[in-house]
Amino acid sequence: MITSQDFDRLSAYVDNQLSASEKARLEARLAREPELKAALADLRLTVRVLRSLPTIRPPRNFTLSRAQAEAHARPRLGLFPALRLATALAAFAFIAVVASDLFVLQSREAAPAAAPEVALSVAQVTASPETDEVGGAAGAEAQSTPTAQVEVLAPLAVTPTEQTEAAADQTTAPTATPETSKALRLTMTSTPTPAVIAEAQDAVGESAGNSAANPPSAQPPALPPLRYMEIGLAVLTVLLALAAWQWRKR
Amino acid sequence: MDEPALILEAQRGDLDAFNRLVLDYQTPVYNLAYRIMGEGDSAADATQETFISAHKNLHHYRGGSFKAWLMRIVTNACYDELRRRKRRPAASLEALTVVPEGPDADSEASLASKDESPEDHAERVELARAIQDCLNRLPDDMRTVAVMCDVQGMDYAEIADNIGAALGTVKSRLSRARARLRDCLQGVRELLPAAFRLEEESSL
Repeated sequence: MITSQDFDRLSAYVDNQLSASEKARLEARLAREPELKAALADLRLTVRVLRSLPTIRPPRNFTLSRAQAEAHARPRLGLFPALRLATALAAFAFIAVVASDLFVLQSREAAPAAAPEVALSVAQVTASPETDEVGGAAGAEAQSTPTAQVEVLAPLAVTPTEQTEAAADQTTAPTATPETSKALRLTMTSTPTPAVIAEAQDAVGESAGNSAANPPSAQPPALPPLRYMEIGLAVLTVLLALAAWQWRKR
Repeated sequence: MDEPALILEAQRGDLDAFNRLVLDYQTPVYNLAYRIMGEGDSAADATQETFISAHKNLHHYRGGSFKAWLMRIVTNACYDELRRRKRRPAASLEALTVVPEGPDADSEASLASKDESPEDHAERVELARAIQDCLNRLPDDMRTVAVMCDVQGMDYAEIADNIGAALGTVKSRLSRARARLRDCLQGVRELLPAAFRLEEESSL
């Protein structure tokens, strides 16, 4: 019985790749084991048959034309490293801006909870489509009675929990207490006038101290500039990566 | 001009010098590609790719055997193509079924000796096809090693260097390839020329 190890040894023996001692051992076995000897003869024949394969003449010459040589000599990847670097830089800038944005958000959350929540409730209401409907009715009232607004906003700012509830009521249950909804409507309708925005900011500032010096609600429908930067950088990174990929594929 | 001088000239941008090297080595390069790929068109593509790549990377060549350097490039070109075929099995099957027909039958006989009879010639072509068919049945890594050793006559160290494997791997792969080839070739014994058969009998 010829094992696969025997066959490995025979194969190496055919190529003279056995050590002297291995070779001597194998030759001793070959002398007394006809089966092993027959396997060796078979293997030698196989190798001889393979070596008998004719050399094939190539179907044509593979010399390069000047155009071929020049096409490949041109540094085609010249722009690729630049694009790759630009992609990396844009990605890095994107990460840095997102990180700083997150940091700012976190530091706001760490500050007394009132400020952002007041800002949030105001922002929510100003962004709601109700603005137009109520604006006509209550707007005139609000503008004509500025003292009323201050009265309403001040308690909101002083009792943050109450006002959070009010915001929740406004969004979840339309049947809010008349007082709360009035307050919110007043705030909402007052946003177009800069004077009222300033008042709202003042009210927020009183309750939250200096941590809420610049609430995002001050710019009603627009995103903060940091968000624009994030979007812009993300788009730029993707575009640069695509350009680099396309260039490399060419 | 001798080979080192030609290589130096080619490295300096002399295309004629490079093309003289191409003419010197295109036959072994094409033959290795042919035996690994199993048919002429893919072999021609791999050969062309090899010389284009060699020209592009000539500045990376740092002495040693130029032929071995080219053989390494063509082996990689063949491996790349075989990998591509594995990713697209339909194309691979098509390529394999096309093999025995067409100009390849002639290419096996292209170096025919002038004084053999038409019968001998036909038998020789048939045997060559049968052997290639057995080679084509091997897994890619076994076929490559068998072709390099038994068809191209490379030694183990050269093969190991070429395919980036250890010497032991080459040994065992070659042994397994030969075992399979032996079994496959049993079926074509009657095609073996008389000289083979006589030797076989005398060695028993």
